[in-house]
Amino acid sequence: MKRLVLILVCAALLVALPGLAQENAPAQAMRLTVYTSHKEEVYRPVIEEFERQTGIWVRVVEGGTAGLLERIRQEREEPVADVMFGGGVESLMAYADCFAPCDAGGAPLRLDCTFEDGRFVAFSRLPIVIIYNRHLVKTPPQGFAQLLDFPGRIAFADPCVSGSSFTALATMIQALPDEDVPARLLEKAQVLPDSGDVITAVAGGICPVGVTLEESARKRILDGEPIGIVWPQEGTSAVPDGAAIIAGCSHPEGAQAFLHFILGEAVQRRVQTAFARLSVRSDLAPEGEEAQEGPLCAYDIPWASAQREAILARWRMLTGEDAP
Amino acid sequence: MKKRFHAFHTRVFATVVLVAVVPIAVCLMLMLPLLIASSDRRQAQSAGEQLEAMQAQLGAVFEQTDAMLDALSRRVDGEEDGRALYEAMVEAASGCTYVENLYVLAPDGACVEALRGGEARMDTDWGILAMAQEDTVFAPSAKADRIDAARKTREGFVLARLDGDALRAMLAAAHDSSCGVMLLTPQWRLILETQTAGASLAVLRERWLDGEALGQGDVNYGMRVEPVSGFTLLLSQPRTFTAETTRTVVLLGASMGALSLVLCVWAALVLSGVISRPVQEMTRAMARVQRGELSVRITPRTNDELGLLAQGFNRMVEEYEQNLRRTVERQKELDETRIRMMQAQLNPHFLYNTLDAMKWMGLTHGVPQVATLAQDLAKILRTSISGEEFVTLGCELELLERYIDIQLIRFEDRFACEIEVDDALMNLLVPKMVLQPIVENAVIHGVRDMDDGYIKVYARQMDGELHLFVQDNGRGMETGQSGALSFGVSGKPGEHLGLYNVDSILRLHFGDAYGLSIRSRPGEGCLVEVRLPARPAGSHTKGGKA
Repeated sequence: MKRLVLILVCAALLVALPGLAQENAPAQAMRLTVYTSHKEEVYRPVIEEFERQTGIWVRVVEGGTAGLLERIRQEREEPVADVMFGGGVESLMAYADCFAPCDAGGAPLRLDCTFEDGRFVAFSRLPIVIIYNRHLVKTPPQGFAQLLDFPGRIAFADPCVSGSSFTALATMIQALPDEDVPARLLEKAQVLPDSGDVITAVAGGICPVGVTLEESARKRILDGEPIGIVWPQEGTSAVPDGAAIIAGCSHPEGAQAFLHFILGEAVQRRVQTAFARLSVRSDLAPEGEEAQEGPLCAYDIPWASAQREAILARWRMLTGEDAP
Repeated sequence: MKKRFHAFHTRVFATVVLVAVVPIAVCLMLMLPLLIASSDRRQAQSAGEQLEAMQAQLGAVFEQTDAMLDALSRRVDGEEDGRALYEAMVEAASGCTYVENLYVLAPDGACVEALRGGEARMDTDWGILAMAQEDTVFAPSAKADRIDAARKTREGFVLARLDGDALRAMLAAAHDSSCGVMLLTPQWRLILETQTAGASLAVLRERWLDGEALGQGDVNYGMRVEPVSGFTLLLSQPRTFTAETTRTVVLLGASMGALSLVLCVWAALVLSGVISRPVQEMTRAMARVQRGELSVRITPRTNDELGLLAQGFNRMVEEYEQNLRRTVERQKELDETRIRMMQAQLNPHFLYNTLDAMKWMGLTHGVPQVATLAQDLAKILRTSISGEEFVTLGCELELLERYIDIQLIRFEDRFACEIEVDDALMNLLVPKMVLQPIVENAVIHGVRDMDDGYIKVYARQMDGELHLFVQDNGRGMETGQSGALSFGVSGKPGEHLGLYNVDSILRLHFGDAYGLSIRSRPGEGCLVEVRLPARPAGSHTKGGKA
């Protein structure tokens, strides 16, 4: 009799327990950890849409590109992240040994956005453009050569501080091989501490013209600032940022799915519209009134990386900082 | 090993602490977790009920929306007339209070008709339309604070936009005001929340993914998946027993414990004082008694057991003192008796030699009475100076016969003496010279002035006692000396010094239960009885005396 009661109680518990227990946490296969150096306004809609469409739970860890890449290198034995989302391709290139081979899922990519290595994919392109104040400037400079001859101060962020400003400087050096760009630029430049200050300076009329990323300029134009964009006639650089799968990660399939997703048409179209960047797909034309893509020069990323210290040293010498 | 000394107040203190503090501690340690567990259980139950209610209400809204979109999709398929389409939409939306807007969309996302105007085009590769199937799907709207429900039709999509404010109000009414609820996508992204309580969603989502308990600290969480939409309801419920409340209760308990500890110390001191002070006083008094101060007395302070103990102590010391005094007096008397006896002794050898000379002179000069007298006296003398205290009754009687022989010669046979003792008693021990003084008393005070005096000596053994009797028919004792004449401790020797000495010796040897007793009436003779323990020779132990 006692045994019967015991069995009944056990049975009741077995029936009742699953009812009492909470829902279970998602299965391992349905998880993905993403390290991103993008701003929230970029990564959040992408990741939420990815979750919605795949049902995968994404964990996001935000940080600076350099910090996250270093962290990935330190975690190489036991990777925490599955995907690195963001960071210029030159940075990703430097950490290629931390990444697993990946594919673009058959997306038609631009030639300048495919990499032989195959350890990362490009996500969006960030062209360097000339901006000007619409109220102050009636005939803006059409290229870097005209810019250097333009009467008036040029808003330019300190390339020693701002990565995008260094890219702008290196682009100008490559676009004007016959000029001593740093010296000529410094004659006219108003050197600003941060790349964001360039647009503020131009929009506020402190400087009539400036050099900065097209993305930032387009966003501020959408906010109603009186800024115009000029695509330099010499051609400019559009260094892509990328994404990669971490070598030895726990969820390689989900990571690959994420890469396919961000290269998909839906996301790439948003890269051009909502994020004010340029797509890496060859089948998507720039959208929007201001987004008229101009000529590109053959920007040599490895050269820029190699010459970085030399260029910056010269810059510092010219500005009088850190004089030998 | 030395036994550890435990002061009385330490034990009292330990006992009082055990009685007063331990229950509080046990109460705190046992009851508090039980109380917290019970409160948590009750709260969990309440959370479950609230979630149930919210899920039911939300489910009803979503099912109604689903039914509406289903009906609408049937109506719009193949409908060309714009007016008829709009009317169908109005009809479908009627009664659906949570529907803010209703759209009919072309396959490319272009708006064919909208109930209350609005967007011209929607993305079909993003958000809800990318998910839309033959069945209704739900997703947070691109427009903030709204929920979209969409469904694919043969010619595009139908989409209902639900009012987030109304849904929030509905959820808020269904849960306790202290709680908050979040409506989340299946991957726990926020759609809307009634009020913020507890940790942020980002933190909760991390905990959930790490498989940790959601509720950490002062807020409990309950969750429920709404099956129609797949959304998750996450209820946050502040715990009744927060860490602070628990701390307060523990602090309260601890201070109560501390207070009772202080009271315990006080009570222990008072109690041990009440008990140990008289005990210490008694210990000191006892030490003084041990040193010989018998005048020590304790004044009883209280009218309780300790008071009785003090009285008992006083009585005991008093009795001890009396006893001691009595013993000393007795010893003194014994010494006096011995001194008297020693004073009565002459140089025995001189007497003995003289008597021997007298015996031979009597024989030589033909006076045999002198020889007999001298020989008997010498015999008595020899016995009396021997060192032994006890002799057999036979020996004592032989001595007595010698004495009587002397007295017969002295009194010219004016009295007769008869000794009648059973041979069985001859071997019993008696103190030396115990009968002679009695017979002497009978001769001198009884029969000396008579011509037909008669003295009888006899003995009886009864109940382990030996009774020796000396009876005479002399003039007896004078009034006042007869009957219960006693030579007890307080008795005076008077003229019957011999009797007194015998009585004293007996009492000193055997105790007050033994001694002499005299029955006599003037003119009718006298009977002296000697009572002593019957002890045969060979068991020669000194008589017990308290």
